[in-house]
Amino acid sequence: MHFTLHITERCNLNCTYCFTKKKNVDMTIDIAQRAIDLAARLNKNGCGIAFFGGEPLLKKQLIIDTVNYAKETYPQKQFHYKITTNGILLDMDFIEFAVLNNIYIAISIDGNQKAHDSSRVDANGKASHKVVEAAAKMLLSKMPHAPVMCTVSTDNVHYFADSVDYLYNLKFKYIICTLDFSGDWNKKLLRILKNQYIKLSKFYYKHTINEDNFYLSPFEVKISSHIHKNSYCHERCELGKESVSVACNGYIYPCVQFVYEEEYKIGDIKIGIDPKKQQILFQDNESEKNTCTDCFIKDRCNHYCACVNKQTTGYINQVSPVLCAHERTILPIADKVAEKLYKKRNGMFIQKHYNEWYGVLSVAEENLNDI
Amino acid sequence: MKVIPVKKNNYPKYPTTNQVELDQMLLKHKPNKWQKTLIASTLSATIALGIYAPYMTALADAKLPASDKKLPDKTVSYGGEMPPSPNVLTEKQARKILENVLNEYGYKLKVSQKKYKALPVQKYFFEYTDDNKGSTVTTSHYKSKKTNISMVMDYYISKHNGKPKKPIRLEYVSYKFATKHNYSSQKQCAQQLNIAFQKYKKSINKAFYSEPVYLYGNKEDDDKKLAIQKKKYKKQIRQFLNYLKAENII
Repeated sequence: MHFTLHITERCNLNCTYCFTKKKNVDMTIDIAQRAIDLAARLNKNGCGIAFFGGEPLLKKQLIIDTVNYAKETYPQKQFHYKITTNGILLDMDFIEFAVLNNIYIAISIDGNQKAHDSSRVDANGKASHKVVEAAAKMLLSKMPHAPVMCTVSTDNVHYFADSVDYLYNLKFKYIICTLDFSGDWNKKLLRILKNQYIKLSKFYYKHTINEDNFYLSPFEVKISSHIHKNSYCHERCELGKESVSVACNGYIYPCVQFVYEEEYKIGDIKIGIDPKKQQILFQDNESEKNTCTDCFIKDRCNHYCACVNKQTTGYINQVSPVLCAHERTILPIADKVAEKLYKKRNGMFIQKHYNEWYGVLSVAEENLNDI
Repeated sequence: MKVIPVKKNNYPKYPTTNQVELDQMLLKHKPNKWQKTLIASTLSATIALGIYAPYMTALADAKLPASDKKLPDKTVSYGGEMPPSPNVLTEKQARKILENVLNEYGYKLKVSQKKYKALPVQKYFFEYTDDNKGSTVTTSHYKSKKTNISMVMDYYISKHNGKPKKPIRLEYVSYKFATKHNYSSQKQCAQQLNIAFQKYKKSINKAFYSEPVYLYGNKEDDDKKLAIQKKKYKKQIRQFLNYLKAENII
């Protein structure tokens, strides 16, 4: 079970779509260490620890101390770490620490300047793109496989395809795009989204034909939902089973969206996780959604994401209409490009999606080319 | 905005991993740049030999057929021995099993052969009769002239004593393998044919296949695997003959 530590509720940006309830609260080192103790107790071989916020780099020293504590106290466990940062406070010292300590840094950039600055501004409304772009270049110089998290909102959907192109040209190979499902989406905006996805399918096709190593979500995920049909359900949300969120005060919640929601509290770092509460929530989320019983694509759809459902409808088992519209939009487009590449028996497409060793092979190939 | 279930959707025209497991030949398609990079190509070959297995055992396990998850001990490094090819029933072995099972059910196999030179395939016929039941069973066996792959065996059963109620066509599939890699196509082909056969109203058809097994040189283990393989093949034939009996076809 992976642990997400909400080490601060503070943030140096004020993104328009952010769901975090910003409070002036930080996690103490004692709580972070107890969370590591619990993670070590619950995971025989170690697990993933994500540092989340607010902006986690506001608590850089806490991250460093927590990682060192885990290393010294549990040398036999293999913890791996992840941070999602807005990049404002990213510096070379921290990147080097991250490289040495197996910390995976994901940076949030919403694309080109127009797209990014339409939402990601500080408390005074000051744009952040310039600073973040410099941080991204610095990150990629040390971590060439660092992923970029791109949020597509109603404000920047017009620039979506251009933004992905921009991020790719910035040399990001892992581009993870997520929709701001809580936004005020309407038919017109969804039509724009569709057109952007069609443009992106051309991007996907072109770069696959060029045999470029890249990962572009949601295309990869949606194609995978067909290819790995039987195992796809394992990738979807297993609320409170696969990972939990630890709030600044040490209370445990099933996912990032539920932090500080009393009814979703499933434990705390002193006592541990209440298996009954955990199971009830899990089952509630797993129950078939009435609205989707007869849906042809329900097995490939993300409607089990409790976070999105909660964020948009207020209930974990009530499916978000925006998510539904999104899935209906993206699936046929992703299928079409996959069919085209498969028809060509494109080596890159086939290896990427059907060869379990693709990750190792592509990295090996890249490294060898660099020699 | 509302949640709207999708009522109709075209099934994607690219395969699932299950289908690809049955057609490992698909993975021969590689990016050109991999093929140009000598060491990368070597890596792709040696990975199959388990060089990365120490930290990717789970992946290796998933890649191998469920019944044979352990890689052979000798296959660990560059230039090492290749893993053995999967073992499948030869056509002769499959026919022997068929003969035995037919015997159990009171049928006798009588073989005669004919060749069709004009066809793109050579077609062999095997005939056998069951005097007790009054049936004639004819089998045909196609062999592609181009690829030398043995493809299909058909079995026609008709009443030879008296007038047949109606012609009954039975198709069985057996494969002889073009290369050591396409073993899995047999199951895929059989399964696809069985699905297609279900749509035929006028004919009764069934495709058989033999499960591939990996033999690692431990005689006791290998014999067990081969016995299970034959048992599974027999089971398919028995199930089908039982079905035919229950339907009063034979």
